Amino acid sequence: MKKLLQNLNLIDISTKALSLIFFIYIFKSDFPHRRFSIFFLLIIIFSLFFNQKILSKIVFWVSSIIILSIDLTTNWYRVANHHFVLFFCCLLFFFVLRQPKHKQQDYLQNNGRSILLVLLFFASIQKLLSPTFIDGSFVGQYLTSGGFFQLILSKIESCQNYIASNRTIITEFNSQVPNATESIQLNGNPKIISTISLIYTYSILIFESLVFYVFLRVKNLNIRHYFLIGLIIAVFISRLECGFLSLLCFLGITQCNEKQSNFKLIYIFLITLFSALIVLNVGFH
Amino acid sequence: MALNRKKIVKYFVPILMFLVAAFQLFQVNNDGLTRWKGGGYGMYSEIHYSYYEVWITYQGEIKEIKHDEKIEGISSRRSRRLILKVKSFPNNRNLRALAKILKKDEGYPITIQVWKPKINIDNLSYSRVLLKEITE
Repeated sequence: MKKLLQNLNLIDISTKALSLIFFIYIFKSDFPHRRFSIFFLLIIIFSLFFNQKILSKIVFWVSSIIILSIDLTTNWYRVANHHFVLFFCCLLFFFVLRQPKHKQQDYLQNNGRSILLVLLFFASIQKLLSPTFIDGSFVGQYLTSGGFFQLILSKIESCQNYIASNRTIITEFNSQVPNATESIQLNGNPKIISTISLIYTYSILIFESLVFYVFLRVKNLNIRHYFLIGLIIAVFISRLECGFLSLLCFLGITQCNEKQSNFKLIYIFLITLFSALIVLNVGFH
Repeated sequence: MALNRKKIVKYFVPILMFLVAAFQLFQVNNDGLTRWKGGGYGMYSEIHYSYYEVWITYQGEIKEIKHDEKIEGISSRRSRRLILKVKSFPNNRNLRALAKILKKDEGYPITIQVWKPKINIDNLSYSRVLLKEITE
């Protein structure tokens, strides 16, 4: 496998990884142009198994950009942020394939890194500018009424009961006509919850900013990959955002050089894992 | 100048991505758009808008409209879209669009309110804050 990856160039691996992510996206999306999507789905299956050259044709990526553009323009304020990332990745591929062969890899690496930087920059800035994130109440809300670490917490009965009791209190309170002066008391020790919330809040912010800094300044490519894989694992443990994570893995692949087959292997394994989870309806797509 | 144009062409995709995200951030700060939507990468930076509540006061009745509820006169799909839009982007335009559909009798005013949950982590109190209100 490692040898096979060494023989495949970066453009080939990235093309396959992105077309797989795009395939899963079409497979799971419920946007209105279903018939057209099924036709496109068949083309991807055919290309992946029988004629992989189709994936390196500009017309393939133009079609994918058209499909994604229709989806984005009709659902601009409804689709998740990673659908925008997928659109930009497909758009990037269109530009990559327009470059002369010897320039394609550099073009993909530079732009892949820039996409990652824009994403991490805005993810950090949004958190910094959000008052409910900075004061820890956003994380506090998820900790008291569920949402984070579902993989782990679902195995611990006391945590399940704690979250369920708070959800019952909230549901009952929310069924009444709202009044800004009224409030209810949630279960739990405020000191413990607020300490955990603040530690977790600032850990997220610091780690995300650190990954941004590493990709911006640190020249050592291995360190960049360690941080990116760390971020992917941290997000996966906190929340099963499989669609977003597979795109982070794709961007990780674009940052690999010829010698970094191990990292390519890790990213491909992760994309396969996340794709399988999405197909099995585990997590978010 | 030629070099700048070359650089813009070279980094067209990340520049476009940056502009979309910057526009989203502008809408978040000036028009009430949720950080979760619009291509600004603000997911998990504030509570998800599906937890917001839309309450209407019309002809003496006060009730909540949930996003899985069907509004009379329009399809379930459109109802869901409209209510989610009001929750994710509670500006005057979207609230007025909902008011127009809900208002059956022009003689009565309709009030639409969007409420947002709030947790105070210092004492674990849970309350609701009025985010937007219109009367048409």
